[in-house]
Amino acid sequence: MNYLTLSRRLALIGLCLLPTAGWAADAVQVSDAWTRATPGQATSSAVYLTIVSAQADAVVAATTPIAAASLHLHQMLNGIGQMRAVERVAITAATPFHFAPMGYHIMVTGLKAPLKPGDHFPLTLNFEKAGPVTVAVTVRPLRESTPMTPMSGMDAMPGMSNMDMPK
Amino acid sequence: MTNYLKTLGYGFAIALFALLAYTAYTRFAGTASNAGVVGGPFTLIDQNGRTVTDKDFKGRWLIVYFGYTHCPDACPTALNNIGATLDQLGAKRSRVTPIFITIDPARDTAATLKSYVASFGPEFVGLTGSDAAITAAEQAYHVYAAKHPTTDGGYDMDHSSVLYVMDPDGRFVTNFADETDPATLAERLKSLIP
Repeated sequence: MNYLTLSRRLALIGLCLLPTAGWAADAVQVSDAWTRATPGQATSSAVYLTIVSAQADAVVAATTPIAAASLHLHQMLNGIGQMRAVERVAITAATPFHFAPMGYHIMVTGLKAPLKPGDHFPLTLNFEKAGPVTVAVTVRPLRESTPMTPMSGMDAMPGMSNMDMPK
Repeated sequence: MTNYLKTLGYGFAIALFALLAYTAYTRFAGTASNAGVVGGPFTLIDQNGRTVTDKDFKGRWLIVYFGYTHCPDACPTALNNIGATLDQLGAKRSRVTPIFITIDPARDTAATLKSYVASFGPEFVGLTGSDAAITAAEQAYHVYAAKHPTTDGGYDMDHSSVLYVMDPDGRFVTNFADETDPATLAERLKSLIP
């Protein structure tokens, strides 16, 4: 009697948790994580990915076991390209946010081994609200790795008004 | 008295107009003459350790790009775009040499450049040199480059990220933004190369 009740209770709890777990998993979706194979002896690379968050959130850190990782923004100011570390990348609710070439990227530095096409490695993004989300980053061949992705970020990036979509 | 003021007013207006016209003229003339002197003589070291000068590339169309191998985003994107552009040039590909000139000669030795540029295509040339030689090349191409320290004790480079097209006589023809898509680049190059 007691056992049955317990199992029923557990089942009930489980049923309650399932949708919650499902919601939590869907709260932030990180997809299409990729980087380039490293050219020559290069020990750094840039990881690109797409984030969709149900709620407004922010990426505050990135980590990977294979290298040091940091959030970076590449921007053009009067024709001068600058890379700057950023502490926080704000994500608008329910709007895809692209880390993409010539914009936001996750810089990995101090790679101990070259990245080869087809390799995968884990990368964890820390979100202000959603917490850590780990994805597998795919290493794409160097020469086929610049797909026509949307420009990095959304539309309101300071100082990037001259970086329109390629025409 | 009124006439005197009028004359003064006209005189002032004419002087102002002349000043504006002169400023506009010198600015325009400055831009035009600058455009003519992008590029020029250089003596650098190629990815095989050989000393090369601008004369070694006479007779070839050049796509010149300044960058550095520790650059994870802009430089590979630009070099990939150049590689993809060459793939679309057909028979005219053989007349074009892409040249990557490092702005970070301290880290980019000839040996470093050799495997780096080969990753983007067989015809890529990588050039390095002494600080003075690289600075001279940067100045010739009006390239800005400056170290920006990073928190890990290393540095990145802030730099002009532009593709320069030079004709077989070593004269500047046009330039493109680093993110120009390969189809556009290939189209322009095909129309430029006879």
